[in-house]
Amino acid sequence: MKIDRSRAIQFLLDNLVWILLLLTLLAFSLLTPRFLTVGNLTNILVHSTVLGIMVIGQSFTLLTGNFDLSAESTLGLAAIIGAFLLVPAGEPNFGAGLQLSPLLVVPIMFAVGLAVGWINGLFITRLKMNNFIVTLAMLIILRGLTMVITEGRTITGLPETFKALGAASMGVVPISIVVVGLAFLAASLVTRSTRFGRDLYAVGGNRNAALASGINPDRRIRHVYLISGLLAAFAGWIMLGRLGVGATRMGEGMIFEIQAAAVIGGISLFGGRGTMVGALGGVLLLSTIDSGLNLLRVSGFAINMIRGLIILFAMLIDAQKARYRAPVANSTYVTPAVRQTS
Amino acid sequence: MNMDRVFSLLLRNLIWILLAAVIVFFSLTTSSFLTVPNFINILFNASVLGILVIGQTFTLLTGNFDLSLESTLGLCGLLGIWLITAAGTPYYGSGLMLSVWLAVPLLLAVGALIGLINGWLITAMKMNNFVVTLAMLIIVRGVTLVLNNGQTAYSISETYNWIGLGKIGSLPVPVVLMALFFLGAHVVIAYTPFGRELYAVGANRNAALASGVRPDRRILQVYVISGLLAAFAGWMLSARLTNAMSSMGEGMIFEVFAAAVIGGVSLKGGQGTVLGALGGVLLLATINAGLNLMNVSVYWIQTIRGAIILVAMLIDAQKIRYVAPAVHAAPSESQTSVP
Repeated sequence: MKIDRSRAIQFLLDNLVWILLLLTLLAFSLLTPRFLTVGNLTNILVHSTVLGIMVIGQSFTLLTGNFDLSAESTLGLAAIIGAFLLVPAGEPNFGAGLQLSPLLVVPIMFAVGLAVGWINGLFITRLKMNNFIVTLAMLIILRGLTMVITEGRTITGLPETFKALGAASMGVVPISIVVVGLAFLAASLVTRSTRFGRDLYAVGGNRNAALASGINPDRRIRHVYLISGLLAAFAGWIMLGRLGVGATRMGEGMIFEIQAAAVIGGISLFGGRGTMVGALGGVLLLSTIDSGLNLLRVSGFAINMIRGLIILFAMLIDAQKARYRAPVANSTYVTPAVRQTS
Repeated sequence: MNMDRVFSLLLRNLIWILLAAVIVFFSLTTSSFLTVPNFINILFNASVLGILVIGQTFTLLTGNFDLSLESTLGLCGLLGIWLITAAGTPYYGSGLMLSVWLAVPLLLAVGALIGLINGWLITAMKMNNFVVTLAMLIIVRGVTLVLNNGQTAYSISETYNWIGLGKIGSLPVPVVLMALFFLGAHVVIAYTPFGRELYAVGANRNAALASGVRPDRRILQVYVISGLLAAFAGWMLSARLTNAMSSMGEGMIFEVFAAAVIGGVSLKGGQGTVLGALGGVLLLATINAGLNLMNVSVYWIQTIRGAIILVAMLIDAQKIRYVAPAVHAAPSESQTSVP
């Protein structure tokens, strides 16, 4: 009887983010009749797509105990390069004048993302630099490059075929929702059921043990940065479609939301813990809160504050969970969040 | 033997060598760089960043982050002006028209309170410092937006603005204050038991605990110091600009980290000095000034600055490799690498 009860508590704690999400959905449904409609729920999912893709990428790096702060700038740079290559030069489009086909531009954008990930991985594993610092410098550099390309102007006139990923629907279902849903499914399968995925947990959980068991941690770390860069470029493509234009500041400040969603979803900043499904829960929770507060006509300024408070509250509960579960191991909770990869 | 010593001395003072190299480079490439007014200008522009970096150094030494600094700066800077100015056009204050002598202690108290909340959540509620201060970064920026509905407030009080625009002799007040703060922080960290305890907490928490240090208490204190300094920097910045936008300080945390880490303060705690951090601040400020004088396009400045940070950290990473090959060899890839 006693065991059963502690098991139930354990189950609830493990699925905390989903419980919070349910409570939030319930609260908003009671507060405003416009919340629980198909249109609004679809809207919440559409608004989750870019964040969702970014969180998948970040979760991969976090599982190995590494940050990718540069993801938001990678999104911006890949998107701007894409937009730049697609449209005519000069007023009013401000492109390169090349007007390349989307069939060529999309691979180029992916290549940009992969290149960024490759450079990050190179600096971190081959040159033994701290992951926080490398990706912090990259965050600054890539945003700078984006500015060099646009010179502060907004790129307009993107072709409809290119925008379809972020803007079009298949019947009533927006394409982006389906794509991001599939991406979460794939990421979940890869992390749970493949050797590669298990390696990531091993590297993040205990690097030396992983090394001893024949895993090459540095190689895995290079892989997750490639994945993160590629996904950031993909998110850039979705965002371009949704916004319809390319702006210099695309993605700016998003990294805080990405980290928050991943952590609320149960991905540990220390590596080796968390699931993609949990991360999805974190993304949906943040989007639901945004949408609900919007419908309640809460001022945009206050939404920011409330969102922060909810993140704090969720993490407060989470910390108590860790305390309840492992009172001994808890002392690690005040050590710095950054692990060196070497 | 002697060569090794010289080499090790050079490595330990790498930041100053980098700074000297950058100064020589800019002196050779632009004629207007090596002048007294330009150097005063560099220091002036470094002052707000410098004070934030001092605060961050305190928390980093104990092995903790304070991401919320930039938002604390924004809130406290706006709060100061908001409290002392008239409502509505053209100044957009609260209409409370408080005296500066009341407003400044209030804004400092708010900064200390934010630090206290951070510290309390981290030590008493056992929350992760990264997550707590990340949430606080978002919350405090939200409060700043709500406070003045996103409106910029303008200060016409000369008393309030003195801290940013005044002069002592021929030196701007912010420069003098930054120097005093760095001196004070250096003395506290290098020469007091409190300072030594911060290193102990950051280097090995359990060992510190065993030797009678109370880590949680020290961590709480560094967050209060950090919040207080951020509030002060906010006052200084808003005074210098004579206005406060609700986005003031946004994105600054990245530069704060870069300066501290380039200056040799470790993200893992227990390593680094205040003077090193000063070197990091001066390096970033010098680069900014030099690039401006060279008429580098504004669009390129950010990229170049980021690249320089990366190169500096790259050199630093190689230094660690050279200085402590034994420590480094432990889990290194080189032994088991499968290309």
